[in-house]
Amino acid sequence: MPRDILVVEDLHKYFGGIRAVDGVSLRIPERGIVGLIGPNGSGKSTLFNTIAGRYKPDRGRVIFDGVDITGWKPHRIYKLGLVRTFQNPRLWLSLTVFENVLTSGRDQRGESPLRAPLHRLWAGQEMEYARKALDWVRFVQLGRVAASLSSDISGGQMKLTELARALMSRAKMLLLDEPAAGVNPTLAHQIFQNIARLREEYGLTFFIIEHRLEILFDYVDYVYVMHRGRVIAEGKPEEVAENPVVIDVYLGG
Amino acid sequence: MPVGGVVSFILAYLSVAAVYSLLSISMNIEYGWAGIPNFGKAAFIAAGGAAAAIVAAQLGPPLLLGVKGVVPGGLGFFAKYNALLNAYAAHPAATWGVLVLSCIIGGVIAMILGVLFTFPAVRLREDYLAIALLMAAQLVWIVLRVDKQIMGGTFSMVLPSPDFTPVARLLHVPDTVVKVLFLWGLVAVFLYYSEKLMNSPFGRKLRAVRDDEIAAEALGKNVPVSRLQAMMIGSFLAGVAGAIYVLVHLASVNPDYFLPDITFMILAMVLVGGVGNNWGAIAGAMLLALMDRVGYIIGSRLATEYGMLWGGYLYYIVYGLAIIIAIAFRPQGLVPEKPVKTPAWRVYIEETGETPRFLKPIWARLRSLRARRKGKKEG
Amino acid sequence: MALQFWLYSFAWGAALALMASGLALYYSVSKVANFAHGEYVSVGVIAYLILVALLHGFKNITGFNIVEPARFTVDKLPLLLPIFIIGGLVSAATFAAVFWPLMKRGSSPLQLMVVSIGLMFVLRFILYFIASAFDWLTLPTPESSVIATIGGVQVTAGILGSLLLALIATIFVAWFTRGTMIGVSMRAVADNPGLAEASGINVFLVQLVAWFIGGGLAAVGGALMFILTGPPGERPIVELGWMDLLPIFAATVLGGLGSFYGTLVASFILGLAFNEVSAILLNYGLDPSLALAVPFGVTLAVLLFMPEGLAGLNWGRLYRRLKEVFRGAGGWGS
Ligand SMILES: Nc1ncnc2c1ncn2[C@@H]1O[C@H](COP(=O)(O)OP(=O)(O)OP(=O)(O)O)[C@@H](O)[C@H]1O
Ligand SMILES: [Mg+2]
Repeated sequence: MPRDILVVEDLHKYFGGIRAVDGVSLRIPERGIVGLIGPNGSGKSTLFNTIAGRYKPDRGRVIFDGVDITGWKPHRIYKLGLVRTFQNPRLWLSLTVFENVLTSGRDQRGESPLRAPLHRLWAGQEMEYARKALDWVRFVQLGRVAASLSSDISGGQMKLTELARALMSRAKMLLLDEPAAGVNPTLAHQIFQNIARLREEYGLTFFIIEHRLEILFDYVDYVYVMHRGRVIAEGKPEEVAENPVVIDVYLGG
Repeated sequence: MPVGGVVSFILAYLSVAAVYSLLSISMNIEYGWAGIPNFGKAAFIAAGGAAAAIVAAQLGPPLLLGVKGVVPGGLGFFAKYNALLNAYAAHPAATWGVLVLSCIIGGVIAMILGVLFTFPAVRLREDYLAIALLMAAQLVWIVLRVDKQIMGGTFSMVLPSPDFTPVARLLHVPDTVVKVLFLWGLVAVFLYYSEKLMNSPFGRKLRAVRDDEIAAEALGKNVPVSRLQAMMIGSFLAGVAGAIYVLVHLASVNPDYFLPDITFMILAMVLVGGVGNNWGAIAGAMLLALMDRVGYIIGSRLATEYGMLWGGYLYYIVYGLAIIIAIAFRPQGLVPEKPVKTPAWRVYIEETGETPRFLKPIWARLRSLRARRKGKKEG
Repeated sequence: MALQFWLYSFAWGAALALMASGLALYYSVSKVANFAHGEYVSVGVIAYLILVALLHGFKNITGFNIVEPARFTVDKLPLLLPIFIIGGLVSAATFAAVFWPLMKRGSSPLQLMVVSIGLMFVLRFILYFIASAFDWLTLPTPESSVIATIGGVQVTAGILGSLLLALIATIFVAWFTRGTMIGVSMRAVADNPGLAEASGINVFLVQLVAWFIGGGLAAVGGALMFILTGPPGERPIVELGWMDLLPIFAATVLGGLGSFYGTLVASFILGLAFNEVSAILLNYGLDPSLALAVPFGVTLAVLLFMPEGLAGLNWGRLYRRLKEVFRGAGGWGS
């Protein structure tokens, strides 16, 4: 039994009267690929935002890699190795695709304003990171647009840039919010195959929101189902697919 | 206008344009690169001015001249201070000492003020941040007026300008020429430093924070600290530039030099020249300084010869229209910002074997542009 | 004496309330931190002087000659209506010509704020132009006729005007935002512009009206502030608006940016605090301009510790708490 890398206990997040996340508890095992599904507005993205520090939870705890990260700022959570992508791509639009990926590299020596003017202090690391960034750009098949401004690429390409950016961070675990939205089914399958490959090669853990269950279910070990801010079902994909509650929620809206 | 008039106009213009360039480079670090609306710039420039006044009257005499300093505001200050000014005039080296000390002290005070003002407010939304900085700057201005021991309250205090005569004699040119060269030399230093500073992962981080701070913090950037860093650097440079402004360019100091007008003038230069481009900041400073000077000459003619007092306020329309036109028609400025150039692009060129268009030298870009035009015409 | 001082401070607060609530009104629908607002205030000053000159057929009114005619009396109160309209037109014109096109193009709030600086400069130049054409750049404080003396307290026309206008403005805005179509739409736009537009509200028109009223209130407040305090320090009269801009921002921030009533309350509080501190400073032989630290300090404190201002406070809870405390039923803890 692998240990649980992420533990969420009784997490609540309200927006005024809206109970976007209303008592969610879940556990993600190390090296797992876990899916999160649920109808629109069921609180999936809010759950990610609350885990990753964008929102402070109203109640509950988040424990990552044995550390209680409840209420931490996002950049500290990143440092621990938990990195997320956004459902609506949030790229740095005045930077190129290549630079978007490069910028998310961790512990860059040249980011200190004292070292920055002295190029030789960080040029070595920068070139090493550049190679890695280029690898990740190619990994998500964006080699052709690497030198384009990220404001000039298509929505699907933006999502892929988001993914490459998260991978560049050398995280232990990634929270991917609809990584294959706006991407055709063939490419979507490829992305998920690559995710499976990343788990094998680097031992990464994935927690993934995806609407197209027929694609998602081929790759995940375990699925959580959310509805109205709560987890209403969980289990292996084939169990969840047959769960009458889940079918009811999906057909009933 | 006689030839002598034209030459002195050009020299005066080049001198003021250099000072504005120093200031707009520092403003560009904050507004252009980091997206911080520093509406309190005047306070950081004032730090340099205050440092110059303190060094000239209080610190400089014991350190550089070996005599006792005088505290402004007291009885008989002007008589004693005039004696000091005469002593400075007899020691050219001491006037340079004043400049160096003032730059260092002014920069450090400005940097400290930058932290004090920004640290609490840096998490605020941009409009709140702008208002808070503007208020803080107004407060500094009031303190400078009220506390007569800093720069003598509301009287203008003459300052010992650095003495260019020895160099000028050596080169057989007038003093002002050397002064202009010296100021532009400083601009080159500021430009070199900020180009080096920004073409680095640090510059990229600032742009990331400016473009999308939520993404930046999700990918490990400490947003408040990044903004604070930009403010500290910008404020330090503004403090240095402020000392140079009052010592070299104006040779006097008065709290009213540091009204918010100067902040917004510098902001207009950054907007017109190029938001996020250091060269653009200089271009904007040169352009607006020219219009400012021309407007000043026309305006003072109108005011003194025709009694049209509004002539003295022509600069409002120059800068006001410049800001509106820039935002409405060319928000990126005359010289748009360039990608951050780091060794990473060398790796990119090595690995892919192709050079992105924006990294090619300008003539190659022009040639390819012309080729494309031709292709379009034929196709 | 103390009563006289309180009355004056209250009137000062009322004039500030007029200017600041004007900003709050259109900020709530357009979300533009408009630095040109101070110029709408100065427009009120110049408009007042021009209207007075008009009443005298523009004869013998240049320079200090305007001071005697500009003496504020009760029968000049109706002049505030054209001042309101002039200020409103200037403000609405700037919105329609500059802010709205930029907003439609998707300019960022930062850019809108910066463009308002440009506008501020342009308007100020125009005001300087007019003021210097009439040779009005520096003027003494106009007199204000005493209409009643109650228990030794003099009520001047200026004081009466400020308090009266603040009251009228409050009633007018209350009626307008509840009782008229466009006022109700204004609240809808303030809450959710996207939804308002989708439900068929003419967002442009609503904002235009808000800017008209906002600029009008600013101009009226400016005219009254000029009558109460005269020109700002030794500076030209057209800088009155600029000098009051930061207190205006202070009042809107303290009121909870965009809340009309919050701003009203905040202005009175600031008016009392500001004048009280100025008086204390004078007593101790210190420079009264240091009193500007009051609005600044208040603003910074509010921004840092209660970013939603007075409007964000839970008044109901505060009231219940206070009642409990006074009854001795419990502390603030729990
Ligand atoms: N910042 C916010 N402020 C107010 N309400 C919010 C905010 N973010 C989300 N909500 C509300 O919280 C609820 C959950 O939204 P969330 O985005 O988490 O759903 P989701 O499951 O990700 O939906 P989708 O599948 O459409 O992405 C929705 O009702 C939404 O309107
Ligand atoms: Mg979502």
